[in-house]
Amino acid sequence: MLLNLLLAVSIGIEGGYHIPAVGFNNINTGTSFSLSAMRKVSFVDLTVGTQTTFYAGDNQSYHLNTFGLRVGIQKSNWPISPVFAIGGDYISRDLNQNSEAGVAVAYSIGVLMNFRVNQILIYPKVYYDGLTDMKVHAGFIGLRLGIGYEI
Amino acid sequence: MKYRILLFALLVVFCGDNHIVQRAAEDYFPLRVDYWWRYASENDTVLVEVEPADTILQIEYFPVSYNGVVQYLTKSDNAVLKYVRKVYNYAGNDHTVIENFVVRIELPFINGNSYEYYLADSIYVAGQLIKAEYSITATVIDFAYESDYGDIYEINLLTIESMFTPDTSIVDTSEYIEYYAPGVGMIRFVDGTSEYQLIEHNIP
Repeated sequence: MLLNLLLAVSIGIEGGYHIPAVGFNNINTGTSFSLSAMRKVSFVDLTVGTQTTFYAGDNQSYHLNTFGLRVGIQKSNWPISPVFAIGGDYISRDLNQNSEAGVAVAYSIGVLMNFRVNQILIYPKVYYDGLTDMKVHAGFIGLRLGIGYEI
Repeated sequence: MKYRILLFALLVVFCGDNHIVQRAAEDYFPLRVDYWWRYASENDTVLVEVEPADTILQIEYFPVSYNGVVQYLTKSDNAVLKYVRKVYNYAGNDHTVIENFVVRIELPFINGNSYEYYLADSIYVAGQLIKAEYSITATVIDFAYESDYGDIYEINLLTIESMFTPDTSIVDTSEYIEYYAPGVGMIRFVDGTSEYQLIEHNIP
């Protein structure tokens, strides 16, 4: 059963940039990495992954970092596929060795292009990465390149 | 049904009272021309108005009138800075001892952040050494949720202005506690023994 599950899974690694789009006027840019697993469920590809992002503030002593889990859907056999993901992020922000932390609902909406070479999947992605604490919504435009491997 | 309960539980967990996105994403010190705030204490009101920008020392600043008493403020990437000028009057002429911008509020607000900035200079006037100092010490004491505004930051500010001549020493100490709300700016301040509350404001 487990072997069967593993054989049907693709793993992917992604990296890219985030630029503030809504709110976060004190952030310059961010660097984002994620590691995910993808499995076909019904007619979509379900992804489960972790994502971490490091943001540099306009104030050079200020940093904002996020780490979270996302569950998403996409179509890896379409040349161009929409991407939706939702999850939760742990957010920490620090200035001069003082820090605050909290959690937020995180979501991504975007599109990716699939390029397949044998078992390797290369997918550049553009998306909006939103964060909300149910009081305020804010987010980033993300540009990311992913590389996946079908086991 | 199971998934709906899970989703609801997830939202409850993530949406508690911790508004980290609000504190991280919103502007706690809006500073634009024509913005104004009116505060009231038990027996007094203070109108704070932002006037059209001008330039001093090649830095663009906003004159901010506090009931007619103007402070010159500018907002940079990491702080709100205040223009400080200390003059020594001798025989009817003003001699500038200190003239510079100094950090008043470090941005963004982070609970526990504490800082101190200091200006000092001296000049000779009629053969006498005149020395002036200006220091500001501040601490972001805490943040707390208020239903009207969201997460409010409380800041304690202490300023000490000094002027030393061979004959006299003048030291003026002021302490303020200020409360800042996202998208609104200062909503309350304590000046000596009087507490002022925001009663109306104009931020288009």
